[in-house]
Amino acid sequence: MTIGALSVIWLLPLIGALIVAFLPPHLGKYMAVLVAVAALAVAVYVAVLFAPDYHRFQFTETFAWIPQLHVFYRLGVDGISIWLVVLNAFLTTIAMLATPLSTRNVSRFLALMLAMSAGMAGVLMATDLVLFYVFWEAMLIPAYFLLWLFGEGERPGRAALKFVLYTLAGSLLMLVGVIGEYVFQNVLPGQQTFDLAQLPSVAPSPGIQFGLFAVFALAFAIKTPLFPFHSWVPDAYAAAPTPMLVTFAGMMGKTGAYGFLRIAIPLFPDPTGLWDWRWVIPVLAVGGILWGALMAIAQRDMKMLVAYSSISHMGFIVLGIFALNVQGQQGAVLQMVNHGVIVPALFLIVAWIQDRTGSRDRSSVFGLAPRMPILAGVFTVVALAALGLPGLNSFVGEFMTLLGAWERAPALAIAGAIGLVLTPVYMLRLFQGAMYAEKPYASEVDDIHAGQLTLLAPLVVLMFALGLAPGVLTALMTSVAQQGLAR
Amino acid sequence: MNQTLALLILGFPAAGAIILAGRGWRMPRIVTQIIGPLAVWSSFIVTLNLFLNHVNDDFTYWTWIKSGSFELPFDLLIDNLSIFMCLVITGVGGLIVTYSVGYMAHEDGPSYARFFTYMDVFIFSMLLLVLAGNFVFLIVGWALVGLSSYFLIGFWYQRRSAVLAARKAFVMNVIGDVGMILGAFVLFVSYHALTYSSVFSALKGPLCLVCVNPSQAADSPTIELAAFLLLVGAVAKSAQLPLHTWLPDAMEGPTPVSALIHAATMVTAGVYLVGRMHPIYDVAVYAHGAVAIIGAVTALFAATIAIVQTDIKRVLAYSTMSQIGYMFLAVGIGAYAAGFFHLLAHAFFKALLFMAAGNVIHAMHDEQDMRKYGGLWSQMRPTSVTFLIGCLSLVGVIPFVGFFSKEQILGAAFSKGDPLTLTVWGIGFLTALITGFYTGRMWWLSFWGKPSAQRPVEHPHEAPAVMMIPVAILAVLAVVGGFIQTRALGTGPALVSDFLEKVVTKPNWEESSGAVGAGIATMALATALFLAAYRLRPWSAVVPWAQRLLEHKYYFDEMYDAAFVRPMDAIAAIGYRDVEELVIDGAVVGAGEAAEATAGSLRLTQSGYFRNYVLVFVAGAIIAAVLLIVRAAS
Repeated sequence: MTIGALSVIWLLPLIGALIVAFLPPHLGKYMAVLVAVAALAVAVYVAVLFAPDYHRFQFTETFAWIPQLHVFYRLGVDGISIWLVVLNAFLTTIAMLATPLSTRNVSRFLALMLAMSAGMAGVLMATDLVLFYVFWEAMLIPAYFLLWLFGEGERPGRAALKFVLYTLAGSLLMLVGVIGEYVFQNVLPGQQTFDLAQLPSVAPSPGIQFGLFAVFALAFAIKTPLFPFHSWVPDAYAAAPTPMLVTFAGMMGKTGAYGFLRIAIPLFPDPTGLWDWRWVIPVLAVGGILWGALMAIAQRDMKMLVAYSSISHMGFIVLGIFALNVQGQQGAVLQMVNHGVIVPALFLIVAWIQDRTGSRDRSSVFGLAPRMPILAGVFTVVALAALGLPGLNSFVGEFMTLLGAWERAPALAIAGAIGLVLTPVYMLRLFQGAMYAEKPYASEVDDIHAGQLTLLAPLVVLMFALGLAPGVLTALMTSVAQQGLAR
Repeated sequence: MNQTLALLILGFPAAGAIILAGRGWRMPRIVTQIIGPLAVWSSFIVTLNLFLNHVNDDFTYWTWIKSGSFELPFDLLIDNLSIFMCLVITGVGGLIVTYSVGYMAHEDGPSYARFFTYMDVFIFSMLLLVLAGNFVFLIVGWALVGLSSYFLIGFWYQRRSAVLAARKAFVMNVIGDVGMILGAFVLFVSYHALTYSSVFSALKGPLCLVCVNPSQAADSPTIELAAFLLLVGAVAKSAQLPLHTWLPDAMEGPTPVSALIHAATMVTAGVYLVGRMHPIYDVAVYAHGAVAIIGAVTALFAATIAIVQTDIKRVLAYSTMSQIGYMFLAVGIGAYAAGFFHLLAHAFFKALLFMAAGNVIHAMHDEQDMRKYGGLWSQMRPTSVTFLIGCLSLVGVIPFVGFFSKEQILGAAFSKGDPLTLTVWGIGFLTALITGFYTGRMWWLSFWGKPSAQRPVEHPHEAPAVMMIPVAILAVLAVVGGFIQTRALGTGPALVSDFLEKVVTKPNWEESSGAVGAGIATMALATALFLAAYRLRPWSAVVPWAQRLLEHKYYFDEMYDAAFVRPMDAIAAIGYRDVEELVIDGAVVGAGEAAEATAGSLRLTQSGYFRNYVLVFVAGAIIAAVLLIVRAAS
């Protein structure tokens, strides 16, 4: 048995985590960055060799795990997962670099982060339903300990608990779903499979699909988060330390959206019973776009504002997925990447502002532009990308998801487009409020230093690049390995 | 070669902006002074080259995105319309940026460089808007223009009013952007393409790719819907009713910015859009009619407000709204070339007026209240003369450029002669008279009579040469510019119409014999009112309620505030307090507490919660495994 590139992508951070955990701080950070960069290099290597227009999983690895139960260790990537795998490795690198050495028990922190990254990579690459589930649960464990041990605020333990309980509730139901899929799939006894490439062709009867879709969708909805299952997010994001948020907010939510795309839609092509789930979910997505934006408008705490803006933006992704056409779904994958580039940048900027001023309250932070001209310049670009300025990356994803939604039902696109008008309201209030005032900020504060600028630079470059040539990403999205997905 | 040149039109201002943004604030001031205007003038020269070589092409550069049947290149469309617009933007824009070198001189180094960065971004955005060969990059340019205006309106960010005005302009513009995005969706769903060439050829019939019967495309509800959605964008960008409220607030920006927004760029974008989309508006008759009505009503609406304004820049702002209304009126009735001729004329005289006003504001130490001026005629003669030329052109006095362009619009409306065009002609006629009056009021109040007792400066200084020369050039253009197109009066050349009607539709009706007479009479009456304004000054005490109504700009700001802004904030605040925290989060926390209580009664929670869940998880996994094995065994 040989280990393929995809196994390396998740095993490398996991093994790295085991080593980093026991290293002294300096060495631990070097090692962690090294491991993350190596995993990123492998992920990019896979993307470079990836073949478009090929309708199977690529770089597949298969060997028997529990053959009696038809459970296999199956990994593979297609046009939907490839960029998310790269994004995960990329954000992990940024997170490693963003972790200050002054963090208490920094080596443990980095180790847990690497472990979480390994779990997320596994979720994105697993092509066996049981393996998917195992990775899905596995990524929770480091996330829980990160929030519990390294959380900020008054009661990080409570936020950690809420997060774990909420997501566990969803994923335990998903376990029922996994079993149900095994029991009810439309094959002769003894020929059951958990192969995600095969499962779409052996879908159970619509009534069963209705139920199974519901349990899977609930797990994904909580993780994404989809309105109204988002209430763990503000607490968890408020408690999470900033380097953790780079991957926690930037990547983990995408695993939920990815689940909709990889599991819920292709495995249950006709989830109709009392109602059609394929109409319920996009309505909730639009609800999330608008509700998240309104809640962001109501926030005084900058970090909470960004958290709610993230909820709003995830709505576009789910809406695109449930447009059930190629523009919508490719737009959704694009938007996952875009959101993964923008949200970490926003959280980093808010954290640096808090560093300098000691506050995240919008009423006590103002007039920073004359004191921090470089931050002001970078923040301008990031805020504009976040509010979907045409020309920058987020616009492309929003345009494509809404175009897809319009093709499915114009009403969905129109309601979603109202979100486009609300976004600049809160984003400009945040940006202008912090940066401008009649007088400069009262005390002398330092601008961001070169290291911090270097950290943001790749994110900002991507904001421009993905806005100007999104075709580079969509070119690989033509390779879709499951029937039932648009290509 | 031409392909590269077309890209260079955009490239120069982009490069200028990037250099100034990155290093400008660390470089000596002279570098900024050279790079800022040079970027625009280089663009002008390239445009001129393409113009003289009669280039007409659609250059494709790279595939922006391909997603299923949705494939879109980045392409630039060079035709007579885009070249015409580029000449106006870079020519008048270049004069304005040059003027700014003097006007902004008292800003400190970083702000100075920042200003020219924004100006170059503005020019770049506007050029992208007019050169884009497809709807997506039209929207990109469209939004970047909105962004540039946001930057420039909020340039003096120490002023809270400027920051708020900038945000207002941005959000209003985003409403327009969203309208355009939805309009593009409608077109894509109907015609499966978003490049102009494919959409328009699908519309025109012979090359119809999708529709079985060409007449299906024409005059269908779909095309009306698309035309109305695009109109939302045009209305927002051109500050027409009802999305106009950002424009007067935009006076918070430095005066050259106002000149740029009002003359060369931005507000003319809506006119360009309707002209560019003429294949759509030619078949979407209701939307086309709406363009004319919106234009006419806005022209009158803004002119009435201008009567009572006391801030010189605000008078000019409302006059811009009003004049753009004329252009909408023209393109709305199908007299496209007349609309674009007025666009050109307006670019000359409005840039002139703003920059001459800027000279005055500079001399008056930033005082903008006309009631505190007075008597400048003898003290600032060059500026006064140029300002007067601008005023006469705005009023439409013979033979200034405004006379020829406005006469052509009104003449076209008069000649077409159906009920709609006669109505808008009537409104246009009335507006022309009011224009004469408020322009006269502005002129006499500011420049004539004795100096006001409250005037901040006793002996004002005339502007330096770098500011005076661009103003003088525009003054010359405002005097002689009209003679390039006099055929509406029966004889002479029609250079603008001949050039543009290779792209836009020709009016399909004959010039009626009464039109010229009516036009000359209109402009004569307007001139009379201009002169009469000297005597009629304290008119407003007569009807105090009307005065109040106009001073509050018909209460649009108050209405929007009550209808949208405050409800939105209230819903957000109440929603957060009562729904988000109590219901959405409350349900989860409640469920958790109920579970905890149950668990507590089962005595399983001795040492923390997490163990419980691990237990539940493991138990669940075991049960699941058992089930699986039973099933697999059977």
